[in-house]
Amino acid sequence: MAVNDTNLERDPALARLMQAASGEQPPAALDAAILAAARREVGARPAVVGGCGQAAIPPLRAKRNWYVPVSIAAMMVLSISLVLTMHHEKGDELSQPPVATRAPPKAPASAPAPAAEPAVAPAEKADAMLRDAAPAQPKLAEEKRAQPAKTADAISQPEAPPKAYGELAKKQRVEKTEAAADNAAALGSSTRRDQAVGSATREHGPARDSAATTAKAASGAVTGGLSGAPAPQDRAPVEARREAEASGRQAQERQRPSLGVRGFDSAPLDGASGVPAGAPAGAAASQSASPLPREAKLAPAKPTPEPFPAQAPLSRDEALARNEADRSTGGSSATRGATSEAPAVAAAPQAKPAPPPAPKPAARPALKPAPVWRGLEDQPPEKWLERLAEFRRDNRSIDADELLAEFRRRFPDHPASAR
Amino acid sequence: MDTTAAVSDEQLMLAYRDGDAGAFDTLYRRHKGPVYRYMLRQCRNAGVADELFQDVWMNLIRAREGYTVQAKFTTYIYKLAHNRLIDHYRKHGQAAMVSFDDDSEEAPIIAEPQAAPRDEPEKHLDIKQQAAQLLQLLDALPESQREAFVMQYEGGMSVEEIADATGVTRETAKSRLRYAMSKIRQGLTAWQ
Repeated sequence: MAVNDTNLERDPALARLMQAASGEQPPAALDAAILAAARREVGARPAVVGGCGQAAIPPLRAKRNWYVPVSIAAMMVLSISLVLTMHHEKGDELSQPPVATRAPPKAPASAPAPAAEPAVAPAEKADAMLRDAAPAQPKLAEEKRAQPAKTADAISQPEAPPKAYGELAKKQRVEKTEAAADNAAALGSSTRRDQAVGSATREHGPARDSAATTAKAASGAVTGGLSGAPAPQDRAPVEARREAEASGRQAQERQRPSLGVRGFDSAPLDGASGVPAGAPAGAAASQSASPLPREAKLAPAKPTPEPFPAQAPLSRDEALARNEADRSTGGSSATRGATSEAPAVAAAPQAKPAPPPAPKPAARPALKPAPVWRGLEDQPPEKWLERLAEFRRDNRSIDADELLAEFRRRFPDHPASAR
Repeated sequence: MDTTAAVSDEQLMLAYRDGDAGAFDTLYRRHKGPVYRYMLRQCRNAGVADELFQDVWMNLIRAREGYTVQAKFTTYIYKLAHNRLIDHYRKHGQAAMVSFDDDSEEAPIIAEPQAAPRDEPEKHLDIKQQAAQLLQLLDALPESQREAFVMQYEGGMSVEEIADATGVTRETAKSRLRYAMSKIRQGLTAWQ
């Protein structure tokens, strides 16, 4: 066998023959494809497509192994996040009450008290002046001073507004209140306030004093710049009234652009009777003979079906005269305006009092007009007359009349008062 | 002189496994001809040989990450080629036609001729004619004998390596090789 094993070794002659017969080589395209695949496998070079009809080397499966799990994971993450987002949004929608059935926002109970305080300060100032003129009214003044607290008590118990729209509602209330305050100041809204109070008194009797006080406080808050939103049932009439007031004020300002609004709502009312706090009890009869004859025509009740008729814009004189008549007539003015403010007052006793005003103490004093005799309280009569002459010179007849009336109240013995 | 000649096939394959594409180029250049001719001799069809040849190298490329030096690289690559060839035979129903069980063949063992002097063939025939005669004799051999012969003369493999590559015992491989050598030598002598 050793011989055979030796013969099985590579024969050089046969090897030469085999080498001579070994001319075949793989095609160049095949070489390129294989080499390209080898390079692609190690990432050394981009893929090369085989030439001469050779199909490209199929991409290796190992390279694509990570595609599937990564895409599945991405799909799952996207799906879960989408579902969570939808669930969140749906939950928010369910947690918020629908807008149409949403209860009117109500401020907490603590809001009215601080909101009413700034309104008291100017009122007290006016009271002090009125006390100077009519010292026989301390009791009324005290009652009036206690009114804001009473009003705060009369306002309904707090209902926590939904958090989602509480801020928005508060902001809207403040804006509406400011606009209403401007309108009311322009039109002498103290008249309407009296009407509202009178209406409450007439319809529900003395037992409804607190409700009337509530309505009056709301009206007074609106007049004095407080944010007194009306009861929910009265929103539509109030909105119509505001529009009418706004149009009236625009017309009025077109007629008298230079007129200022001062002193009309500075005299608060007594709680239940509607008698002006600063007026003496017996002054009503004497005031009826005041130099404002037109107001005597307004004294009788004028039942009107509209909640608040879009009345023609009052001129400045008319507003002043009406205000003076309200002060003088007291209860009659309540009777006069009873029906016109019926919806607003009727809503009060229905256990849905007007929401308390949103606190905005910084803006309220600015809305309270100063009396024309401001700064003259301690001055001698000559200064008053100088100011009066100045008003006359500037054609500020209303202010001059107001100043003259106050002058006559303060200095009845002065010779100028007799003129 | 090729500077890469000193580097063994196994080192080149390890380098390629570690990401050296140039090592594969060298390796491929060394073995592409013998492997291709092995395929060409076995399947006797250039197109099929191209396909099988590409598959063999692609299998090598795919298996690079798991390559470890357990044998000579030549044994490794011819083992891949042999397996691919068997798959090809099975796929095309040629397994029955190809007999690898020729060890029991009662072929008459020709007496082993004495080794001819080196210059004897050149004395009578030119080398090209003898090469063509050799190829004809190869085609006449059984598949297994031809495979063993080609592995030895194209791949330079020993009997053990042939046995390892073809998955047979050493004796089987030696027997196949002996038959192949005997027939070829007889044919060449008879042709002379």
